[in-house]
Amino acid sequence: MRKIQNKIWVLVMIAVAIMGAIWLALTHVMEENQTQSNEMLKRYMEINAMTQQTSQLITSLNAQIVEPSTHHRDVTYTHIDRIQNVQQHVLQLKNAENAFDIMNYSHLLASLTDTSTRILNLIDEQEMEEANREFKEANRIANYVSDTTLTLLSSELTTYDEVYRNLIERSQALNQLAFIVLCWITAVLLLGTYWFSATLTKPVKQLTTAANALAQGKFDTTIDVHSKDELAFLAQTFDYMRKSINRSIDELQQKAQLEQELQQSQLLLKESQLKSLQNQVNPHFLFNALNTLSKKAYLDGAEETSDLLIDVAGLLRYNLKNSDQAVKLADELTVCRQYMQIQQARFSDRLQFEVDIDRRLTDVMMPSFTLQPLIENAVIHGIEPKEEGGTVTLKVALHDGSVRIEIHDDGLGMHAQQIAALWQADPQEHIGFANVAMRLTLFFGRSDLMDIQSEVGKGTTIHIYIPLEEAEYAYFNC
Amino acid sequence: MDKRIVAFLSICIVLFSFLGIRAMVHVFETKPELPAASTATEMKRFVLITQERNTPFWKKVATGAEAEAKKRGIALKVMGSYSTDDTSFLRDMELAIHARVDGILVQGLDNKQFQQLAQVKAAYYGIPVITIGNDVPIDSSLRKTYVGTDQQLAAKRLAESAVSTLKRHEQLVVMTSQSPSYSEKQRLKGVRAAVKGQSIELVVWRTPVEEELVDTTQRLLNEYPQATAFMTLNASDMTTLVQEMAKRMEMLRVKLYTFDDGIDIETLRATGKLNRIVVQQPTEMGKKGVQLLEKWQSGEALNPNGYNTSFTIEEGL
Repeated sequence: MRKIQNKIWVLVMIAVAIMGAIWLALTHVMEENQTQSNEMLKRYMEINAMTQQTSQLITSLNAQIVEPSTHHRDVTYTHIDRIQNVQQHVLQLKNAENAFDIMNYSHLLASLTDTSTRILNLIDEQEMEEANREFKEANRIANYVSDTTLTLLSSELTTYDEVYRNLIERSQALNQLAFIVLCWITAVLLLGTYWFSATLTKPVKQLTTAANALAQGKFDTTIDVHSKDELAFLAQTFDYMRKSINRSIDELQQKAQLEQELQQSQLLLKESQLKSLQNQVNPHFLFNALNTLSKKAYLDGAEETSDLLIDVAGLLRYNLKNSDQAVKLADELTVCRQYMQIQQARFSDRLQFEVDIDRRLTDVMMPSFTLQPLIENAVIHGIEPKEEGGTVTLKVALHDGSVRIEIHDDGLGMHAQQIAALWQADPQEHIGFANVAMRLTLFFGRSDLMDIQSEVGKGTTIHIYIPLEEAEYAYFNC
Repeated sequence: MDKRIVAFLSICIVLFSFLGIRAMVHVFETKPELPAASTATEMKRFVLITQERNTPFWKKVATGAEAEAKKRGIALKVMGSYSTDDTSFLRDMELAIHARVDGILVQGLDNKQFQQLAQVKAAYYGIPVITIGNDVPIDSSLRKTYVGTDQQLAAKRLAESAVSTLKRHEQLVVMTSQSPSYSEKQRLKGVRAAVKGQSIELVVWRTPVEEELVDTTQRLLNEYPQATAFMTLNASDMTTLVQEMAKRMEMLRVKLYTFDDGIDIETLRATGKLNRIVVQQPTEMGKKGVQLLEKWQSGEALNPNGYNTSFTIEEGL
């Protein structure tokens, strides 16, 4: 059934049809009963009517005898006619049971009318004595008519007693049947209605359950509705929705997983790159070499050279440490100093180095290899190209809840595009500006810890912020 | 909840279907049928009228007549009264005549009204009247014929058997009515004929109408204590006679003779007190009566002297 409306139609039609049929059948049978009852009554009444006619005839005959007149005569003739007319009727009531009596009846009536006519003639001819005699006889005949009426009625009643009993029995049977049919119809309609409402409520319940499941995040159970009406359509749509949500979730999950894997592999790659780099040089030999050189230089009287060699050894040692360790700010500053000393030896007066460090703050932890690369950038890209040289300034101070490290050079400076390029450089490629920024972000979980300002011809300033706990800050800020 | 409701309703439906079909069958079974209107053309109607409808004798007559009528497709009705009631008997006869039946079998009644009816009225309508069982004089009734026992002959035979047991000068008491019916008159004739020339004393006791039968019987027994043979020409009188005799005397001493058309004849025969009775053929009478009426209807002439049915004198046991 395509539509709920159709189902309703069908149910109602069936109910109406059944009830109509039953009503027709019952009416038919009742009508039959009624007809037969009427038939029986009609007979009784016809027979009875006859008796009345005859007694009326006798009365009018009597009147005519007592007081002969045209009026009485005519009335009598009327009665005679009437009886003769109805005499035929009587014969129609004949059946196997009463044939004898009916025929007696009919002939008695004929005898009566004959006698009556005879009486009237006698009266006309003034033969009163004879008329009286005949009247006595007519009376007797009328009595016989009454007797026969009684016999007939009695016989009819006997005959129809059986019929009447049957009628009553039938009536009762009919009543019983009607009652049973009523019960049957009730049961059928209840069943039909129940089935029908079930076909409505079941899909609704299923949809509700499915919606609940979806609301709770279970996207896997299919929505199955068996009917073919509007509710099935709704359920189908619901199911499509569920499936597409499912798909979207799957896709998202897959993407996230891929990204994660990618990141991991990239980190691993960087690690292995570093490691391979690290392993390329045998550190022990270098240290020994440098030590030897340092001593030799010192023994040769070249103290500066010896110091420089020690700085190089320090730098090298620092470089070979694990690159993802956290170090103190003090260590980083030491490395910077060592680096600058080497470079100053190279660039002599062209490179100046100034520091302004709040010694209290140098215990804070930070990722390693953050300051030295920046200092290096400042030297190589800022000061070195400049003919007259310049100054690299390194400051460490409290600033607004963090330790601010400033690296300033008054070198060439950069364009805005160069600055942008710095930020966008691939942090994985080499340890540079972008790499430092990324590692700071990963270490502290914040991305606002570095900024850079530069003006062409004026210089470049890089700030790094090491966030402090409130308690630490308060401690340092007093 | 689901399945139980469906199951329950389904069971209900099946149950009601079964009951319903049974009720329907019941309704159609009890279809009342009106007796069909008879379209038969007018069939012949005969009536049998008797004054003694309740005697076994006349019941047999009726049976015989009805059987014969049915065989011939004639409608026969038995009318009359139950205990020698003249009035309603004659009334029925007049009714039958005015109802223009096709034939009347009537127990003969020898009085003026009967004659009037049979002679005048029946003849006026052309209805044949045949006396049955008991006859009436033909001259006064113009009955077509008579069917039944020859009463005179039967009585003669009965008396002969009585006489044969009597010795010289013994008495044969014959009871009859003061105003006897024609049959009784005939029977008396027969008895006289049997006694004639015999040296038996015939006592004819006429029971008066006004007197109670019991009383007159008593008187009779008082007056003739030595009588050894009693005959009642009216068979129904025998009951009272036996009753009264039993009060007085040894029954074995006395011989009783009567006819078999009395009310209690069966009972009397069972008592064994009767010596001889005339056994008639009532069923044959009825049958023959119908046959004769039909013969008349088909135009055949009937012998006005009568058609006698056979009889036997039998032991009274």
